[in-house]
Amino acid sequence: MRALQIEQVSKHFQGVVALSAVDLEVRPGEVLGLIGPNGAGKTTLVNVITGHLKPDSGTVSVGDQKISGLRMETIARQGVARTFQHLRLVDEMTVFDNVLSGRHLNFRARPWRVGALRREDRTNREVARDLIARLELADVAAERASSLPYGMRRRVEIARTLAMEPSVLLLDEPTAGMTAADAQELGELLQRTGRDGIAVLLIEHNVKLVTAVCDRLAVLDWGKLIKTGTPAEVWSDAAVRAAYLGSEDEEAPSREVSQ
Amino acid sequence: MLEWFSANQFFIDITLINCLLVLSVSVVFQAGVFSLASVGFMSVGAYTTAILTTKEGMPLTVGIIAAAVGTALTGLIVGLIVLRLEGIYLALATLALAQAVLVLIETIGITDADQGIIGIPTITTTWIVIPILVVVAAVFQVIHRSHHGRAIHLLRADPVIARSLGVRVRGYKLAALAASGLLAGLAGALDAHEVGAIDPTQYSFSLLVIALTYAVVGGVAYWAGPLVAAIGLGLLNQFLHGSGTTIETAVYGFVLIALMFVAPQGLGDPRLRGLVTAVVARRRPQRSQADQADLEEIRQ
Repeated sequence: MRALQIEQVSKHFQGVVALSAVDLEVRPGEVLGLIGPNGAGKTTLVNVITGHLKPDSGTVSVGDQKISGLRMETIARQGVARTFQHLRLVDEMTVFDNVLSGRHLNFRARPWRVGALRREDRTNREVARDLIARLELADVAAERASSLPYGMRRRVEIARTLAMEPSVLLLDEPTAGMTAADAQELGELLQRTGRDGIAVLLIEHNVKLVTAVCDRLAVLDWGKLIKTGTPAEVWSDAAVRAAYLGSEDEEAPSREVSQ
Repeated sequence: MLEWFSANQFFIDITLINCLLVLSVSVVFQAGVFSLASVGFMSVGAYTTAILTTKEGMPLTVGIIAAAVGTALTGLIVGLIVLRLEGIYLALATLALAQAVLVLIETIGITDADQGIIGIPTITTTWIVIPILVVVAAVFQVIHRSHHGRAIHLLRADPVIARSLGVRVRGYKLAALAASGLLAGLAGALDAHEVGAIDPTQYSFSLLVIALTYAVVGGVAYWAGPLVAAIGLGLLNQFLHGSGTTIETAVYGFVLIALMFVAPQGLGDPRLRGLVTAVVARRRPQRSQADQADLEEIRQ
């Protein structure tokens, strides 16, 4: 049960400010929605957390372990899992193998301990199978990932990250390309995931979904965190409405705002 | 059969030894490292055992083991130097290092410069090479089936995915270069003890091209592909050359092109394996039993 802590993180790209002194905490068991207009720095923040990019200043930590400055694979080993905005699967692998590859860090037995290797292999395959069933991919488990429709491929990617049993889960627009029904189901899955004690950071454009699923929202605009709070607090904030929705009200989710 | 075998034993041995060289090229390709250092490693292995056994009078096993271990270490050191590069730049750097080794061999005294070393004990036989190949193949198969095999596939297909899942990409690439060194070093040592004489010109660019061809025709998907290519095409090449006309060389070229069309992903492509199984058994391709069991359970 470890929280993700982002303190005073800044990142520039050749003079363009992508992130400016961002402070954010995602608590264990919480689903935090990160929203903001295109180019606000959401994916940059995820890339900084995962070590894909190094922050210019500031620190990122998981629990009391500082992770900023570490290599990507070392950060993954600290329990940070992610999906990608432009989804990334190994196309020629089967769905099952794609999910099983998320178990890489759970193969720990020494190569000469044959019995332990077998047991471990069995357990890891079971976990992969369970996740595949949970994400309703059982019928296509033996198919190549490239043969699936986009929404299903998204679910394979999510199953792969869950296979890592992470402390921190970063999802970069996971519902892009999904049908409304699939997106809603995914939202329910994320809420259950949060209840397992995982800190979930969700980047999402679907306003209805983030409002329904997330415990808190954080709004980025031009690299600055302009508001953090419950969905109701955030949507009633004038600055957020100006930045995110344009100053007009038409897209605001009326139900939550009226609460 | 036996007569044919003894008449062609030298070619057969050389072909089998070349398998180790081809696997040395293939193992780095599998890990997504475009290393061209294999023939250089081979020369290091050959000279290591030649100097130790012929000049220093050490036992043959010591010479061959020292060749394998020495080239594995060489591979590791090359890896530490070149792995900050990628793609074509890494390829050029490894080729340059391999050429530098040859220049070194031609320059320093202990290798007898470009005269080469003669009188190396010729103890390599088919019955030494085959068990070594079997052991190497078994190790490849065990790794292929394990999570390491999956990790290697991942880092070849997409290093970013691999790293995001906690795969130590650099560690695997270093290990691949060490394995590449070991296999090529073994090939060099066995070759030296087969032929009995070595000189720097043997480790030429054209040998590298042959090994590269087999590795590419074999493909990176499965280790058996390059092995089949090296044995099949190697023997074909030897016997076509044996008949001594240019028509045969053209035939060899056509066979290569035809294989590229039949199996663009290489001879180790699972789809091709499925096709072959289907043709041989005259039925639809079947999955391995373990995978089948997994799928059954998932469907339930």
